[in-house]
Amino acid sequence: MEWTTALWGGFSSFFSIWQICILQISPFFMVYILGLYLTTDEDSRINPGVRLLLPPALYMIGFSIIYALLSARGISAGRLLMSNINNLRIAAGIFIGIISLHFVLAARLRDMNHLLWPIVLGLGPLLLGISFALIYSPCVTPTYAKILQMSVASETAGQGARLALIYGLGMGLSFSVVGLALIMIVRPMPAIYKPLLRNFSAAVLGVLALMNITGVMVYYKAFFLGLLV
Amino acid sequence: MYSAKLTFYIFPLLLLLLTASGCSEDASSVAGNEPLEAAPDFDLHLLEGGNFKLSNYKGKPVVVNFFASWCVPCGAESPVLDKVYQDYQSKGVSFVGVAVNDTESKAREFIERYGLTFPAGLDDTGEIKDAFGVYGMPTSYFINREGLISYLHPGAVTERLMQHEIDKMLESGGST
Repeated sequence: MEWTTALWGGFSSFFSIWQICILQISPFFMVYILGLYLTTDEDSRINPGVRLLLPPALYMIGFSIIYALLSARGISAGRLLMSNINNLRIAAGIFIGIISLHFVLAARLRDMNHLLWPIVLGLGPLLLGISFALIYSPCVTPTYAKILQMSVASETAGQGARLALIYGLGMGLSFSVVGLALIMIVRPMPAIYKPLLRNFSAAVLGVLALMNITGVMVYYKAFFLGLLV
Repeated sequence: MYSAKLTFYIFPLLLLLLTASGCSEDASSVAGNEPLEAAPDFDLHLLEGGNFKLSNYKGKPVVVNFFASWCVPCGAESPVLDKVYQDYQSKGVSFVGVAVNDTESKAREFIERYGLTFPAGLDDTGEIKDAFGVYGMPTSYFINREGLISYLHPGAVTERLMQHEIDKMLESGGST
């Protein structure tokens, strides 16, 4: 399989019937990227380009690396992750909870926010990408099925993992494109509504955190996604 | 810029990590058609009552299908799975559906909607899924008479593929 096929497979899945499965994480990414932008919106000391582009880029990297490892059954690191997936999902929930708290406290801790911006705009999105790959249970699309087939056999596991990485990058790219479009829509919004939207983002991420910590994410998948199938 | 440096260092580091992982490929992986790995035993409580304990089926080919009610391709493959089950049931092939990341009521609804007739249960703790190393859904495991994973198929199955894999298990007699 060509890498372009894997990239397109991942990218196009967002805009197809497969979005039903991706809804496990896509709305949460959108509220995160909006909330993060609004959290750092008023800080003119941070380069606007960095503020806009760095988080989705690092999210893509974090998501695709873990997605590839979890897809690669023939790789020892992938098996190790899979064998600890339940605990890792709880850890992911705790991390998402910290982001939610940060959004709530951001307005009060503006100076600290500025000092910590490499963590807020760099490490945060990277770890969120990792967290989302951990809490995601993918549906196997035809392209992804071919990649998984490669990932299973020991002799092609490396190639399969690399293609899964590219597929994950494609998915992350579609998230980023849509997320950036949403930011462009929200940008001209009157300032009075922005704290409301940021708090809404915090609340939604807080719910996601609780669902993963308590294990009730399964109800979201079964009942919400189930409505659409 | 600090962020640019951060990205500059993190990206290659992570790619290196993935490449390095690729170098430590586990030779015990289930390769294409080679039965190398024993299927993990499990005891599944079935939705219609009773239990399905895999080790009780030693000596019979078994197809284990992992699915979820909200999974788009799971619904798409269901008629194929059931048709093949009907065709091969009399030849001593057992099927079991394992619902994962799901609730009992939704799993029941799914089974009724698609008219699945083979036994199925809910893996509510995710233990069976994790033991098999299932990440994406659907995934089907073809387990031969010796309890070894003869083939695993991620994604929706086709009738032809299922027939091929099951015939292979049946033709091989005691081993595949």
